[in-house]
Amino acid sequence: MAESGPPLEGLVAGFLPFDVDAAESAFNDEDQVGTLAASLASFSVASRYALERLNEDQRRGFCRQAAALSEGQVQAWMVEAALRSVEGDRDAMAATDPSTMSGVHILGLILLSSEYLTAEECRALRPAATEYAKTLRPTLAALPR
Amino acid sequence: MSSKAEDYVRWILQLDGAYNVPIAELGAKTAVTTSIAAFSTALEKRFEDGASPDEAREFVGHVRGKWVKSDALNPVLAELAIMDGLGEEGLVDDVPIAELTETQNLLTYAIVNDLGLAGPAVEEFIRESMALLNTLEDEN
Repeated sequence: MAESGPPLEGLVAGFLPFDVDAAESAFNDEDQVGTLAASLASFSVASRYALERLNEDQRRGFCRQAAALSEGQVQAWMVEAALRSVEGDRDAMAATDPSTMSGVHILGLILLSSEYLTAEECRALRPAATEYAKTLRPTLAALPR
Repeated sequence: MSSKAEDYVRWILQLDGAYNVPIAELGAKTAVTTSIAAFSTALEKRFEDGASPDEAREFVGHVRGKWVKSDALNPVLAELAIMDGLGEEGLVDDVPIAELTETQNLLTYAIVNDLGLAGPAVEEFIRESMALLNTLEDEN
């Protein structure tokens, strides 16, 4: 099956660091599977890198800050659930509303780019995020929609 | 004769004969405070020396599936509700009150059943919850 839309590398570049125009373009693109793979992979790689250096209080602060970006749509515990999910906890998102949770990783990316990572750090994470996006893509493509 | 608040705790615990007390009869504020009182009483019994986040997480892992359907209780929210109930502030301030109350009620039910409280022990639990409720209402 031919790959449609911009390659994953290009999509990841729009998320690390987060570029509003690039992200908007990605979310309007036909290849939503690619966009989802790239954004989830970017969030996964960037959050694990940035949060490694945070203690518990700082991590909670991160969750509150990300939730605050959502203007009431997302609560801090949901951000924590998303973080645990990308850290490998398969149960962390149980009993959550998929449509609410679907935006959490974008809030995380915005916050990571603006407050927790330098542009250089973001760029350095791109290869790992791109590789991860490639592994996510087929799984996401196979999900029922 | 039991009060509406007592009946509400019986309903939280799903005791035989308990009925779903309408919020209109109980009052929204009393319902919330009663939930908090029952939850605090349950936490006191289960975690009398407090708990670390890991201990709270382990407990949630233990009761989800066993006493509460896994798809009815998010483990992260449950863990934070426990830590908040044990005195750590700012963890669940942004959770809509109805959702937080529901989480607390599920955990109260899970704790009481996990501790194996029955018969007189359950009645004592209800009395202690009511005593705490009176204290909380006096404070307000």
